[in-house]
Amino acid sequence: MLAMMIGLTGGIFYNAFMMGMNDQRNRAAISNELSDFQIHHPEYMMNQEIRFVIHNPDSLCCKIASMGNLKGVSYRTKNSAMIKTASTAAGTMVNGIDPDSEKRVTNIYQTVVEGGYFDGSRRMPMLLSRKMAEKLHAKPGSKVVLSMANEKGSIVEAAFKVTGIYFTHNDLYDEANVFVMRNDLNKLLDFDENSTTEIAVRLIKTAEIEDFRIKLNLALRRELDTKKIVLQSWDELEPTLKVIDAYTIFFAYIFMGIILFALAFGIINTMMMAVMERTREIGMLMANGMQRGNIFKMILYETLFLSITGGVAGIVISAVLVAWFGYTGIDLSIFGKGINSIGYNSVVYLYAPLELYPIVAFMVMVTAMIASIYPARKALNMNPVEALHYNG
Amino acid sequence: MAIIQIRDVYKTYDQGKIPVHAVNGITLDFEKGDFAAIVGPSGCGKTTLLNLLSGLDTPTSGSVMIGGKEITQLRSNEQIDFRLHHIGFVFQTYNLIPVLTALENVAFIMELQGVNKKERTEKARKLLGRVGLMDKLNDRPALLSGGQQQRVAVARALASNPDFIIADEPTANLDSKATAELLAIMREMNRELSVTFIFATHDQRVVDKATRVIRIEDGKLKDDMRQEQ
Repeated sequence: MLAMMIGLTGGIFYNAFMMGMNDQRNRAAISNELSDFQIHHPEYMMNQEIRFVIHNPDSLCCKIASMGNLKGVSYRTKNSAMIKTASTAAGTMVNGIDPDSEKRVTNIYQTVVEGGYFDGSRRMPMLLSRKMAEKLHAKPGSKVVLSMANEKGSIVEAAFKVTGIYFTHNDLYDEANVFVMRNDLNKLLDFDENSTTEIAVRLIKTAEIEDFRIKLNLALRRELDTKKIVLQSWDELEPTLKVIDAYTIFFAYIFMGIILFALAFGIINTMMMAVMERTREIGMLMANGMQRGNIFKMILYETLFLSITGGVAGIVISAVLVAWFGYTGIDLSIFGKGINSIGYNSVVYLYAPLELYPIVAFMVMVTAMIASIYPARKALNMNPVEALHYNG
Repeated sequence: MAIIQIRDVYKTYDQGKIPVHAVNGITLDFEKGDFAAIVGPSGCGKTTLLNLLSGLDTPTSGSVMIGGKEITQLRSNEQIDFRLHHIGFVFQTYNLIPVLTALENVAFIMELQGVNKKERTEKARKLLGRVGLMDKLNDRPALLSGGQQQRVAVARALASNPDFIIADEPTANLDSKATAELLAIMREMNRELSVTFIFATHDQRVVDKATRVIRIEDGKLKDDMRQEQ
């Protein structure tokens, strides 16, 4: 019973840890990087060039704005660039954003750790990641130069003032992205004000994304059909997140299966000991008229009782631990750099979907039933005369 | 009238190349109300004979009739059911269920018979009262002395209203006082309820109390003697 309890607690805890990491990564990807949906020119996703633009985005925005469950819509002008200081240079993706509308689609403003978000006090402000700032030896107040090709292929350059440093826990993202005002970038690129390279859409409830997709597809049917735009949800934009999610769930059940397989041997061993210890008792029951089927059932029920008691205890303890560490998180900042470098937060909040518990409970029951068959058969096949005189 | 009729029963075990005739052509009848002791040296076949006449073991040849029914012809499940309703057992090592109280140990047999809870609890109390354990109803076997445990076993054996009770060395683990008390109880039940008791024993105290002494040697019946009590 104790083994079952500890085994299940360990298994569920481990799975909740892995699922928690993934869940956080997904939520961070939606809230800091991707938002729920993005709309692009169909060729933009294959070749992220400034010439692949969406014209007249306001007409699309009007259609989207009328839909329920909408938190916000924001336009972004995005372009690849070289970012330079006096000492060094690096490649980056420049995100030209409207600070206020961006607040409604991502939480990037909440990740600012030094300086401030675009507060309008400086000309040509820039938000730089901590990682990039370290690389460029820049800090709030530093000047950096962005150099990039415009729509016509001409190289344009401008100096920006670092007004804030952000940190998202995802080094891969932080290393690759800087933020500037969309107006500033549009002017620099001589970009049509009535165009955008990206429209980000954020929902109030991400869980209802599939309903929203259907509505969005209907609302934008004409633009989609004429291939003027392409609509992608966060998991289509980052399919690896979805794949990792599916693998984590798949391996969670494989892992639980392995644990239960090992526990099954423990159950068999325990029940065999119980049957051997009670050989005379079983002999007495057979002599006194207990049918073999009832003896089989007796061992079966006993095994189920022990396993289910241990299983329920394990599930309850796990649920409490998952709830507790889901609230407080497990701080792995000692390994922070390594974890951040693969895009995960160093504080892991445990998460286990509710359906995991009944499925594990069912797996425990099946394991217990299978594990009980061998000892129950042993008891069933006892010869009452030998059992009554057993001196083990 | 004989309630048990054993006719020319043999039980042979194949131990290696040499067959062992544990019971070697025994013919015996037991009457209702017998208080019979089967005696003989160790390995003479006493326990084997008890196992045969209780249906726990099947004879190599011969016939065992109980209440006119040939039990060797019954299927395994029918034999078990037959034992439940017709035979009570008392074992040398008591074989009580350690997690049940004295009352539950006695009532348990009736539960197997399908007797309702109220009725079986009432009867178990009555039987335990008759064996002098009214104050130990809710004690588990571990809290009882050997003599008390064996008295619970006797009450359990009586609980199913059996035609006869088989007791294999029931006093082997008991001291003189407990043996005397137990024998007195069993004799009383034998007289009052007309339940047949068949003992396999080495114990002279049991032999002295028996109304019938059956002596077996090398699996054969040597002597069958009735004695006045």
